[in-house]
Amino acid sequence: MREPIIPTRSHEQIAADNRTELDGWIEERTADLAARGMAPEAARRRALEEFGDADGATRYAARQDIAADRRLRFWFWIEELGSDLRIAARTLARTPTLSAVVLLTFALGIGATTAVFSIVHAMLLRRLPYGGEQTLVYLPAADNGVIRPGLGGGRHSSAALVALRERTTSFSGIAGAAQGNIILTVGGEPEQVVAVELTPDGFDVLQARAAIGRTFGAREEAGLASHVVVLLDGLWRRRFGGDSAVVGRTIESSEGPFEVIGVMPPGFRVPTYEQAELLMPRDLAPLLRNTNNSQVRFLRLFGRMKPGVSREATRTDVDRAMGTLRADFPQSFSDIDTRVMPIRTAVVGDAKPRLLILMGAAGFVLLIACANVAGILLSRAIARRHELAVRVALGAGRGRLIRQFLAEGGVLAALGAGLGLLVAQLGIGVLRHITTAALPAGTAFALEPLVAVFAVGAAVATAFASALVPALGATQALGVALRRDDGRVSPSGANRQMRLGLVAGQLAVSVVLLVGAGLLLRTLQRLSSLDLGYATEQALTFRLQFTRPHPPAEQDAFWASIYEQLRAMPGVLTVGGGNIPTSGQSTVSGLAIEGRPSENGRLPDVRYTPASDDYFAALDIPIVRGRAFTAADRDGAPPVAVISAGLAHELWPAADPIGARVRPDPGKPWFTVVGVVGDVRMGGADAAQPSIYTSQRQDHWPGGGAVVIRTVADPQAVAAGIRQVVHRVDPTMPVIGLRTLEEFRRSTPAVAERRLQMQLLVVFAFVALVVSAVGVYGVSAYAIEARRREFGIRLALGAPRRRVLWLALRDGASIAALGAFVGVPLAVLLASRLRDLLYAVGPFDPLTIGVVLGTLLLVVLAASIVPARRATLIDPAETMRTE
Amino acid sequence: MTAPSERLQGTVDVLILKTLAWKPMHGYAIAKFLADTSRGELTVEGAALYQGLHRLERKGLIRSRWGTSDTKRRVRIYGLTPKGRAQLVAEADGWKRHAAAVARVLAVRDAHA
Repeated sequence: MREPIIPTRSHEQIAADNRTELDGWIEERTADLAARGMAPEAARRRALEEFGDADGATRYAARQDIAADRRLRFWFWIEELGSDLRIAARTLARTPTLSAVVLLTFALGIGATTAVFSIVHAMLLRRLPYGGEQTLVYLPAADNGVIRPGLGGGRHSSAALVALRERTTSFSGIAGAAQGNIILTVGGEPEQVVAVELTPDGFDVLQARAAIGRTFGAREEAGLASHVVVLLDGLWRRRFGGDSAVVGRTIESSEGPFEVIGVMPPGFRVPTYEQAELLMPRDLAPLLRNTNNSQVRFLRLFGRMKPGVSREATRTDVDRAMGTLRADFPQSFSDIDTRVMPIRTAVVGDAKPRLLILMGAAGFVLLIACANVAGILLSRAIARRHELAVRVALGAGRGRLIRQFLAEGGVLAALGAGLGLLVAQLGIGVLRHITTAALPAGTAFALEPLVAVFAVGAAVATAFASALVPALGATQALGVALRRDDGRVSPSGANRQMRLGLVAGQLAVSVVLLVGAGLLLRTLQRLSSLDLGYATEQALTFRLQFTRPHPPAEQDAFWASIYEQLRAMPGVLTVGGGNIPTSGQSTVSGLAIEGRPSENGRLPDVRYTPASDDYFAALDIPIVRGRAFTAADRDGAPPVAVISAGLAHELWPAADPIGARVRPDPGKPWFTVVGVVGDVRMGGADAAQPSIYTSQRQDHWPGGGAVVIRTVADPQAVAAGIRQVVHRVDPTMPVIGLRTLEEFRRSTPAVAERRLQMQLLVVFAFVALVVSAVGVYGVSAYAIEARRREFGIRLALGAPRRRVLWLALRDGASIAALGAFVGVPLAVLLASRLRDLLYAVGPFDPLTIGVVLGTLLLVVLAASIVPARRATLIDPAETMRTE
Repeated sequence: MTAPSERLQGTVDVLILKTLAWKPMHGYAIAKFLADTSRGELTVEGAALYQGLHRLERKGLIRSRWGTSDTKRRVRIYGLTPKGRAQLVAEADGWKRHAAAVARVLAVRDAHA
């Protein structure tokens, strides 16, 4: 049996008790002494004297008692907490299904938020692998005030780099970086590696050091040693087994031998070139001797601001420098600006608003979970109001009751956090799988300590938030319950409204998520039904990269042989060569037209790619006028070109372009236009790009090219044999990026990013809807239970069961209406912030909203039909008897 | 080495525990019991005893309740807790050994005198 509880005492009470004890003591002694014949007065004096320092003793005793009391209080508190937790656990275990649903929604909410937060953390919060993030800036070029999107965006000419170095004072250094591809042929399969050519001062500007060996030094700066490379950690581990002896070794590549001088630490990446695995020094001296160096734009610039120089001052400085540059060289720089962008913005790119949207969506799911848990706890509290009333009558304070609810919240928080972390871990795995195309390569995210802390924090906050609402609500309602003793729980009043409000809120949030997901779904639908200008069905593509220099004649023979061998494969319809519109491999170039002076010395930008005879047939690009390339277009014959319809219309609005002569590069001959073909779109949604094609046999590009194979049926069946066929022609030739054109298109950022966003929003919206449905079910079931007698009476008075069914459904319907009323405007409002993610769909899309509302209505009906049907089955006689 | 006041406290504490092992008593009754059993040799000052009782209660070795004395006065009655009983067994052994050791030392000095 438990020992009786000693009530805790106030300090005053302790003092009074001790005084009483002391008085009793003295009186006893006085009485004893008096019994031995002492005079009462003398006996009392003697007793006090014998006792000694009474004041000191009582002070000492009070201190001891207060200390004992404090400990007692603490143990009481622990004991009560323990019993609260036990009660909470028991309460939750009593309704296992409901508790499981609550926990599941909790875990999903916490897990989803945490998984998304792990990406947010990796991209927006984590330290970048460069020293002094605050003073490092990206200096992209903007044409006519716009930074071009995609791989070609932001690039400067080497002349611009030199000019910025000379004409600005804010920087301690400006580095340039250019992307190049290189084939490593050291041991095993030849492999294409993304390389970045960096001006030798680049590492100083980035403030990055090698983990092993060194970065570029004085010899590279002097342009004396250009055949050296610095490996990034990933390549070093993958290709060289993490062997530090590789430093100093010479490796073979398509560009000749290179000496490895260093290995960068893990996590280091060249900003904006996240896929690069290898760094080479770029000596600008030869380029600067080239008179045309302001036309070729291939460099991304990074500046290190001097200490104490603000970004604002730097911006003014750069603007002024560009102004003088424009004044001095109006032809080259007339509409080029240079922006000053924080390095993080450059690295994260436009992922930030998207991440924040996802974070918001995950937060919404968490909010719904909260509302649901709050609703369930609230209805439980109301069902338990008699128990609670009894406890209040037995002396439990309101604080004690609130703590009881918080204990339930605590149990939920602990379980929710545990399960949530599990879900987050799974979610991160899924995210890793589906984000590869949508995030900068190499963005690593994991369940790191900070992320886990976030999850636990989110769990505790949501659990307590959702426990506090019913705690305050129920204890308030208790006052009413205590005053009314008919034992009836009335469904009307503040509590019912609170529950209805919670569920309506959930539905509103679900509507927002559903509309967001719906709009993205529509966008993807529009994007995939978009006419790209070429057919992506039943086609394969891959790249072939020369591992050694091929002279023109050898190139012609090689391609002819490849095309022939591939065409001979069963199931192959047509084989073409040339760059794929979405590949980003095409060059953007200024196009000169014979006999026509350029405006401001600027030439129109065109996409420029050499192509094989069957290129247009293989991609299904229609020939609008004239002809495609033929076998007659070979070296020695007059150089010919084919241009896109858009370009033809732009340059020859009224005249026939056939027969005109154009030059896509100053180093090339003039090409005669012999044909006009259909426009193609570069990415998913971007507008058609003006294009020029030259014959692969007349315009030899070093390096290699892409191949397109149109197949009769399933392209996958053909894909298996391709490597073998290619190796029959050249056993050292790596086949790079073999996939179907459809896959290729889906992986373009415009599509991939939206797909990711859409998939996650759909998941969130689904979770939200399920959780809300649980909420609706709970409210309906509870409301109908509470109105049992009313329904019984109605049935007894002859109301048709249909009418009772409608009465029972009405609650659900009004919640749905309220949810839609709040949710739709909110969704449209938020969707308008999503505008740059949408394509050919407005934020207020009637179809999307219609479907969402229909879904909402169906879900609400489904969730309330079960309890409503129960209402119609009430036996009137029975209800009357039990009353 | 324990400070003199602590050693004194220890003495008072063990005497209180031993007394209460007999039966629960109020403060003055303990004082009287101690004086009687030691035939007047051990008189503990009331204040020290009073402090000792509250100290032992804080340590959880004894527990008090309000009661009535033989003379119908309202007094605080103290009793041993299980923890106090265990403490007494441990302390009493120590004290007996200590007392025996002191006695032996005193006996040696007597022989040399």
